[in-house]
Amino acid sequence: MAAIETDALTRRYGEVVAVDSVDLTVEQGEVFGFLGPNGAGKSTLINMLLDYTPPTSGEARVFGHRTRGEAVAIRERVGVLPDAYKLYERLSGRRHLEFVVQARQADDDPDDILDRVGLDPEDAERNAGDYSKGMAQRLVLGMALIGEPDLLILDEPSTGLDPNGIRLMRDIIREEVDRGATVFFSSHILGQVEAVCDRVGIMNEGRLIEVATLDEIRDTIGVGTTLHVTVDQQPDLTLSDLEAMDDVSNVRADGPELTMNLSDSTAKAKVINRLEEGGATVVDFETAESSLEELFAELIDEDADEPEPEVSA
Amino acid sequence: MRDHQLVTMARKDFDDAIRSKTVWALSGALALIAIFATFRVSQAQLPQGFPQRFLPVLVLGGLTQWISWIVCILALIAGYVSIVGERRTGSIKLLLGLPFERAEILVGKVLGRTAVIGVGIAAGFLTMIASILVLVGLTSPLDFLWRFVGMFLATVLLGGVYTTLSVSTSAIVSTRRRAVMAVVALFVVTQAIWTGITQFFYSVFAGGAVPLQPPSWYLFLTYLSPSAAYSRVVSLVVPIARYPGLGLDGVPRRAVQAQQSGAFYLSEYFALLVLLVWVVGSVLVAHSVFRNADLG
Repeated sequence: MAAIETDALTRRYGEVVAVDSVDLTVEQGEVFGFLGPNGAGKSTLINMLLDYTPPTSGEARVFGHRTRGEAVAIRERVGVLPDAYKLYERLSGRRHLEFVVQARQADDDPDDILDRVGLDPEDAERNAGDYSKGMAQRLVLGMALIGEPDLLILDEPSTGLDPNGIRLMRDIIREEVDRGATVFFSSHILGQVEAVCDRVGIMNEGRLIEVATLDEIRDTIGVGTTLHVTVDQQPDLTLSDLEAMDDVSNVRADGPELTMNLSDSTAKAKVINRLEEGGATVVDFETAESSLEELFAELIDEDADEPEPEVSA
Repeated sequence: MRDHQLVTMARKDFDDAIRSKTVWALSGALALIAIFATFRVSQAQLPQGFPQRFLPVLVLGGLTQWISWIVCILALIAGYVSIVGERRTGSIKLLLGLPFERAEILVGKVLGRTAVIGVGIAAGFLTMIASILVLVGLTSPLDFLWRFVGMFLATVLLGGVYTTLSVSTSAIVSTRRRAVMAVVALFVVTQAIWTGITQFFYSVFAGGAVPLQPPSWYLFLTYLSPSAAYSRVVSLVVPIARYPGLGLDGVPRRAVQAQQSGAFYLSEYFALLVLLVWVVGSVLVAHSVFRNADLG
């Protein structure tokens, strides 16, 4: 049974299609990155998974439970860090945690949770109305962890977190996955998903335009690692000889400096060997991972370039 | 609905709402009115043969109308943002991430806010008993005590009715503005112009103005509003209507007529039923809308 399964899940707001016939499966135990620019429909899809929002058509199941009618069974197994929430400003951080412990009938100790998400026990006594965004985010992450949920749904979890907070969040995600939890991680920033996710799904304008592992996406788009090599003299090779090698493409030369794209970063050793066999000494080399931001932008452009299917009467 | 979830929801909501300054301001107003009314009764000219020991009960009777106004305003204000406010700010997303049915959220909030109103009413009633002790004095404390407790319970019930109405309104509307307009409308209809509405009905169905001795069905209509039903229930413990001619506020002619009519649907117990119907009816209507609302 999949952790999350949607069939032609659709939500319309008047003329606007926020989520357009999405078919998505997230297996148990995986960390799934859910990507897309702001307004792509990510939060609307999450809202439907948790039955905040009823779908216009199609259906979704979480651990086999239909979102319409079995929402309580779903929420018993899901911890949520929602997007655009607000804390109860007249209640303390600790009271928030106690409320979740009671509502889930869990036996978590609020102090352990505070410690895990790095909140000061003294701050926990203060009213949540005084919390900074980063503190609020830590508190709600802590609330999501209570009761050892089988699925964590994190909607833009790094909002307001400083680099330490982001690292802490990643560590927590890894701990939760080791425990056996599934993580559904939504973000508009690829770099954050890259560090923790096994697979990603990319949403744009309500449609799910890609579901793949990060490696698969790099292959599809044909970018990966960029290799810069500086040689002491011209080797006994042509640029086409290098391009003929596996995993090497787009070789450019600028004096003693060569630049090429590698679809597999381990190909760099082969390239360096080949250059040295050709009689040149490699003075210096440098690799750079193509930014996923570029990748992302490219995918979305590609999607936008596709002509809309024409409707005939 | 599961008891544990209801209690959890109600306790959270109680802890949240009890910290609201508005609720305490209105409870303070209730307490001040209690002192003022006690003072007035202590100064009043009483008819010949009026039993002195009944004087403290008279304070309660004189307060009925005032209490129903204040409690109505208090409960409407305490409840109208309870759900729509969470929807607008997004804190409802924290609730809905937890294993609560929507019915549990709705009823839990009604219970939590009613408990808050109950605390406010208790503060008002404690002020009242203190000012009666000081200004009027108690000659038969036991007799007074059960009437006092009875009136307190009836008042909490009235607070519960208006809290249910305002929380239900809050579950139905999708913006704060509409919630404000809806509770103002509730206040005007059930408190300010209810008699006018019943007179309109009379003129439509019976023709002309309401006579001095109206038929029982008309009296019944007038007792359908929560505050009128409340005053009817209160007369169980504070039988002020048995002393016509006192000329105090809150003892309308209709109360005496209802007392004398003997129709079962004009009895105090039927008024209790009317209050319960308001509670159940508004929760059912609110749930039918809230159940499928888009809370994303």
